[in-house]
Amino acid sequence: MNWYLFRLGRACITILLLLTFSFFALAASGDPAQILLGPDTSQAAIDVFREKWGLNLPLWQQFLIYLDGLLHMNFGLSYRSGESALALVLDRIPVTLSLVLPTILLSIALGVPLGILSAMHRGHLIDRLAITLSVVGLSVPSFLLGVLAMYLFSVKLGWLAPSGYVNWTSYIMPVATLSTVGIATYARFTRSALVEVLSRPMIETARASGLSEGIIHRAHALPNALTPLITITALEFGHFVTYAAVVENAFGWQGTGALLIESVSARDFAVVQAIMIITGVTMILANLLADLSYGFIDPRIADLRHRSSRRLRTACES
Amino acid sequence: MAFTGQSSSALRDIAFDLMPGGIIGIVGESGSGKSVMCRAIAGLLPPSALVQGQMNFEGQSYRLSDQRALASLRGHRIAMIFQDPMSALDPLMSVKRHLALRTSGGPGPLLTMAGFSDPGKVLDSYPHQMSGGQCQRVAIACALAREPRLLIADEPTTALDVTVQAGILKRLKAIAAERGMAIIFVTHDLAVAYQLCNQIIVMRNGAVVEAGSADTVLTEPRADYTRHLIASMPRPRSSAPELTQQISPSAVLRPIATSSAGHPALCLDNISVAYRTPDGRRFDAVRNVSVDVGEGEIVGLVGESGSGKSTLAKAAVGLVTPSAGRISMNGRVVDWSTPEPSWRREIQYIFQDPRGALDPLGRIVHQVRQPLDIHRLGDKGEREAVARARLFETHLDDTLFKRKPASLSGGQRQRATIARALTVRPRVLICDESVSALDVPIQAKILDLLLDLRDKYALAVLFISHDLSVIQHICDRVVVMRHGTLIEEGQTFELFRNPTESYTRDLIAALPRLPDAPPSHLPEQEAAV
Repeated sequence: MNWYLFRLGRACITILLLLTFSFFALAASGDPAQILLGPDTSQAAIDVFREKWGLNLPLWQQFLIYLDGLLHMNFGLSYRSGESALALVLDRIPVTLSLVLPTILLSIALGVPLGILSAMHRGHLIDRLAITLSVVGLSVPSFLLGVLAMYLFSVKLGWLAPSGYVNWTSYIMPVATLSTVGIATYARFTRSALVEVLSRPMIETARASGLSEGIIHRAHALPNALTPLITITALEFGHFVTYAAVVENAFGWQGTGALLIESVSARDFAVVQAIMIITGVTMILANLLADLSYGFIDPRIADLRHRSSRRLRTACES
Repeated sequence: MAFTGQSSSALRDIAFDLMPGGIIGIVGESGSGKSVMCRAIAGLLPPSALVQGQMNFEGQSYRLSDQRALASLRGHRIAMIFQDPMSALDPLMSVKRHLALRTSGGPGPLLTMAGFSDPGKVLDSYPHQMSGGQCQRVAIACALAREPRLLIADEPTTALDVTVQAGILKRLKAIAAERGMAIIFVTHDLAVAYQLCNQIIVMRNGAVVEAGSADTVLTEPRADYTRHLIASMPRPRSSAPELTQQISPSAVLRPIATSSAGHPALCLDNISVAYRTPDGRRFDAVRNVSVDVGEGEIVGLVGESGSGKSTLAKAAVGLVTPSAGRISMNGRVVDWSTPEPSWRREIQYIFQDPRGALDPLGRIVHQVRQPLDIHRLGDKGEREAVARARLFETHLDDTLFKRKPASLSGGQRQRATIARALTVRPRVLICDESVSALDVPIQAKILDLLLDLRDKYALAVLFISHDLSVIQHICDRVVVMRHGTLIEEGQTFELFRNPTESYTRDLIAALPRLPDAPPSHLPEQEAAV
């Protein structure tokens, strides 16, 4: 129980840090009154604007008001439209999720088998090919890939709609673009994890006691190599949301990423803040979930959770 | 079975026969090719290895280059176990599943055979919940699961405590007899080989130096190298000459009592060390232990892994903070929470792994000079001169001074760390398993060096080891620890001859022993059991 509380407490502290950071980072980035109203506005108009949004108060008061608002799920209003920032963001989230979730699934479904194949044929042609591909996948920026794909499939061949949501085929290009990075990441990770596990003494021991290569791979190597994928997935989730911003823009999808870019350039603090907080909290929760799920998979961590006298003995022996 | 083998450069012309139920010991230093040969038999060498040779196994002939054929033998015919039991098992898998992968039969009898008195207890355990000895027993059960006719054991007890080692050796011997299974047992420890094996092969640089029955090889060794190995085995000091050279009678007759006469250089008074475990509980690693080390005295600190001996030593130099107790050096009380630089000069620590203790990028002589740089002693020329002098003192060749640690052997590296510890002229030296990772002949030389230095500088040495034979050889007094407490203390000779605690008796009884050495080379061994 202790262990759960500890993880949970740590996640809460991280979230608090995130909230504080996002407030002060945005506060430090410039005065929204000047930016929104433009340089030619009269001082009186600026003062009215500041009054209206509480920008004339000392920073610490603004911070408290901000925290108080968050407690009531009030993320403030958009400077531009006057709508609730939270509602604006929530409205866009399904679009982003509809890109990110299939991307994660596709990345795992293709990346992991590619990594396994690569590790099993270490040093051979398949391996080198896979490594080269994943380096290419990691190094080509997704906006470039998106634009190239659009040029080829929409402009030249006319197979797919260039932008926006038309029907399910509209998913093909953005998801494929996003997935190149994901597949490459998973492939590389799986390969190196598997190669490492295959070099452990336990594999040689298994071999020496007569287990066939197939059983060794299935029962020993893969479970050990793939467990860390949970963490990778939790971390990758954040990356995908980031990459999605670029891809959404390139393909004209109205997701959170596109909203973020619009809001940053317009200094729409409340909206940027809401996106930062929601993305951040999602990532922290994903990591928490990953941490907790290890308890079910790895008996060593399960023992850390459930106080055990055996654990104590191992601790003093090592 | 018969085996003749040859592989690229690690091995040359090796041949031996092994009968069912027979146990053959393969002895040699690291790099002698013993592990390579075993892996060649089991077909476990990497594909890049060039292996030539023939093996006749149960009437059938196999080429050792035929990895596929050898792979088909593994499990039902040949199985192998390795040195590090903790990493031999899958951390995600329970004992039950480990065995279920290998046999459809019940795991109970296998675990009983491997020496578990109550197999039900460990069935659902995971490797991290078990001790090293238990893990090795499970590994043995896994190897036996498909009833192999030959078990190859590559230093399976080297990483284990003596008492645990004794239990496993006994089990292996019993299994060989019960099942008529042959065992190839690789070890660097002649005494272990003598205790277990019918036949012994001594290997060096990939070739067989000597082979024969265990008794003949160890009591009437023909090869010089075998004699050298036997002479290098640590023995009780009261009767043994210095290990490496045949020396003058005066050294043999060195009275052991003189050294303990000096006044205490290091006093550990009622030391306790407590840790907080990951789940938040308090764990007492050391409880109320008092140890004195006199000037010119070598005090041995013995105990199994987890007994708190290293923790105590680390508390002495301030690497861990004791929760209670007082440390004093040369009569002054030392509080490491507010250290003075001069204290650090007076006490030095030598660790087990010299490779880890040296900076891989620094040249030896510079690293040995470093303590002088830190304490700002002398000018640059003097520091260099002192460093060189210490390196000469530890018998390191001056062609090695400018080298980096990677191009030195393990023994040379340990000499360098000893030289480094000595540059600041410490009064107290702590050796934490400092010879445990070294081959026997090299270990012998380092032990002699320590004895020399002790005599020369009246060093007080706290010598930590799990190896009783080393302790018996080098120490004037011995302190036995168990579960964080001091359980027995006494003069080495007395303690080994007449231990009062049953635990100490078990430790001494578990110690593998060589046969009494041939009188022509060594004086008769003191009966110490």
